Amino acid sequence: MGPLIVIVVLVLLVLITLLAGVKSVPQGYEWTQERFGKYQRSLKPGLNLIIPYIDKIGRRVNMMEQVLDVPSQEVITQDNALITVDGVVFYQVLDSAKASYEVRHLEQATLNLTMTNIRTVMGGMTLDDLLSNRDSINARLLAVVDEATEPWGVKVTRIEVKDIKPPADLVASMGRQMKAEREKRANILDAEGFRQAAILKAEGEKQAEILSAEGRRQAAFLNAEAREREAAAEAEATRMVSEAIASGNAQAINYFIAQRYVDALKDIATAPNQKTLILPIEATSILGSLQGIAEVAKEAFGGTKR
Amino acid sequence: MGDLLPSLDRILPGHWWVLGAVLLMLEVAAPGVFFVWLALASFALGLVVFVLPLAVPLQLALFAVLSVAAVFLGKRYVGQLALGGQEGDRLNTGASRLVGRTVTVTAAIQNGTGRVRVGDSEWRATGPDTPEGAQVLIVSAEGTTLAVREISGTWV
Repeated sequence: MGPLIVIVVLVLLVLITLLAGVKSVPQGYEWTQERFGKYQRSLKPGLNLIIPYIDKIGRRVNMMEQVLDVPSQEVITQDNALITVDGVVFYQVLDSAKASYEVRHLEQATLNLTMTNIRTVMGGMTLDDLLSNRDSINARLLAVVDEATEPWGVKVTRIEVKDIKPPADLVASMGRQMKAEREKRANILDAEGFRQAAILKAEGEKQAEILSAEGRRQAAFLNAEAREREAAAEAEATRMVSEAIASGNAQAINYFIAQRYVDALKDIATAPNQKTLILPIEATSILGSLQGIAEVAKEAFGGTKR
Repeated sequence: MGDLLPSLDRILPGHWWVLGAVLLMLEVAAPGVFFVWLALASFALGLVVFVLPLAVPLQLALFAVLSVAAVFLGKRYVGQLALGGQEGDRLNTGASRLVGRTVTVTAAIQNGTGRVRVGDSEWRATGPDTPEGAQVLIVSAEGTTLAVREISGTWV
């Protein structure tokens, strides 16, 4: 019975020893191994054996990239606007030993560092810059925080400012400002339109005036020319007639006059208003004219003998 | 029924096999890669006792020895049984996954340290003094710091 108890105790001891010495680390973690409390090495994922009773597991470090939510905080910008900002930090432990022993509360430390730096960076910018330069804010935050967490074996891969909320009344005035800007633009455009239209109208009127004056001028020129031509033709005709008279007989004119005279008489006779018939007053003069006609006829037909 | 239960003067091979099965179930319920070694030891011991019946204390002592042996043998061989070799080595490799990449210096390397842009993030880099904007090659990684060397001919 005695040796049996010893054996059972021994078996239990072996089991407990195995429990203390066989460590399987899951993927994505590294466990630190401490010998008498001093850091010895980091256990990689998989099956690991450590010396029981002497070695202990210190910290179980998550080696995956992790996300930290930066809680909302109030920041006063350079132009004294009180805004509410929150963000998000992505970081990854690359050195499990440093992350375990160089810093006490890694998450808390990283978070506080980020929050204070958000204040620092944003406090030095105006509201308008903040709202339009998020990229540069993120880059500056990343540079500072990453540099600061480097001794802790942590790589901060990205910091993003999620939401920048100005106070409600500021948002309202921003909206009003935007509306006013647009209205101003619209009014300016309207005025521009009117101005352009007026100018175009005046241009048109001017052109019309010019064109009509041009027309009148041209017409006057042409009229004058026509009159000139007429006079010239008249003069030419007169000249030809007088030439004809000079070279021929004066009786030829009489023939023409007589012809006209008879024509005029015919016109009077056939006038629609036939109640009056004006006859030449002096018959003698008619006769005289007939005489003249006879003379002309004689002249023309070469003197028929009576 | 009483004959079937193991006692301190008589343990049958079947008892060891049942214990092995129970331990395997425990391993599934609470995975810790611990019970499985004891289960293996139990099965092996069951075989041994089946072949040559031993006294109970000797069996228990053998059980302890076999458990330790199972752990060491498992440590040696089970890792190599994994299909496709060490698949897990692709994961959580930290900065060493960046070795061999060509990157741009974003803050000039002065007195041995500067910063380089990798992907959409910046890393601390050590190497020969290099002006900003130069292309460098990552040769090794130590924690959060990358060791770089200049690529000849990219800057004058």
